[in-house]
Amino acid sequence: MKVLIIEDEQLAARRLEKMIKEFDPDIEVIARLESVSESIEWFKKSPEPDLIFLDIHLEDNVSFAIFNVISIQSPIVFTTATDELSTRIFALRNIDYLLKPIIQKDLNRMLIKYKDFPEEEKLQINAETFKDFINRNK
Amino acid sequence: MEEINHKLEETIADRTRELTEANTQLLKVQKENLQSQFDVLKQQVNPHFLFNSLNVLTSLIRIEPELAEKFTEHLSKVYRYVLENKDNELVKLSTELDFLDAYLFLLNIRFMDKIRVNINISDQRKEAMVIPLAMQLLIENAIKHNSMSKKSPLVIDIFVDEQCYLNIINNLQEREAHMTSTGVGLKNIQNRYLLLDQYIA
Repeated sequence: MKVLIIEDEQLAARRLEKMIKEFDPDIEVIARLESVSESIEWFKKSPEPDLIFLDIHLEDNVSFAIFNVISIQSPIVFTTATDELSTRIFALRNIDYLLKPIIQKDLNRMLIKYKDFPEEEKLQINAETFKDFINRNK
Repeated sequence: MEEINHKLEETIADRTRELTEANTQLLKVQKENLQSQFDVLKQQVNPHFLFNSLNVLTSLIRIEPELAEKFTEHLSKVYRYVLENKDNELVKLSTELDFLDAYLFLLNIRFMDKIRVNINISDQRKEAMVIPLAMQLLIENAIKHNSMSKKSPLVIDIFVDEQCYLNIINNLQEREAHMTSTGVGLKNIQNRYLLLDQYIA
């Protein structure tokens, strides 16, 4: 399984990668990206990962801005230290997220879900579906 | 006889008015003072800083445990300073700069190359008195409202100019997603200096 980490605090990204390997050393973290602009460039030239961990607040903008430019097909697990509004929306719409600092048990649950569950169960977020629920929850 | 009485009444009325005005003024100053003290206290127990620090610490413990220990030492130093100085109106600039060193140590671990703080103050100037914790608040503000990256770091310059003013200046890199701001922090610093001005006057 190939995983992408988008997180602007390097320490947190390194910790997440280590914890992923703890769960399963065969999972490959294909990249660690730090900003919206870096992510957009990366998505334009790279194959899609199997799973993305996406931090909400990146150094140059909220990560949702990526969806304005790129249509992402991979499932996404959001991460955030604290963002009441977003987490409430996620909970409402059954969108997976993890609170930072991430707990191994919760991370494992996500990895199991996205590794073993069939395609239909995985959440697909692209620009359309995301804009849709943002607008409904304004 | 009547004239004398009348004059007395006038004088008493005047005096009473003066006293009432003075009293009202005093109450106003006391209220501002209390409000400021309350605001200062709120800032100092601001949970955001502690929360962010704990997050950094959690990562360090797993991936750089020796640095985690150093981090905790500096975090303690920061809070010791707050405990020791929260009731002081003024502290020596050198003491405040010592505290700032510890605070910046923590910031540098969290932000690494994304932030650069240049402090340029002569030893002579370090004898001056300042209100405690104001610089830290300004730095926090700069971080809150500016974007920071390795490619374009937030640069903060701290120095004393020819007019003897302490300057804390950052390059402006406004965030795309603006953070809400109440302005309470800045107002608090202004109020504290204003009040001190009144005492000195």
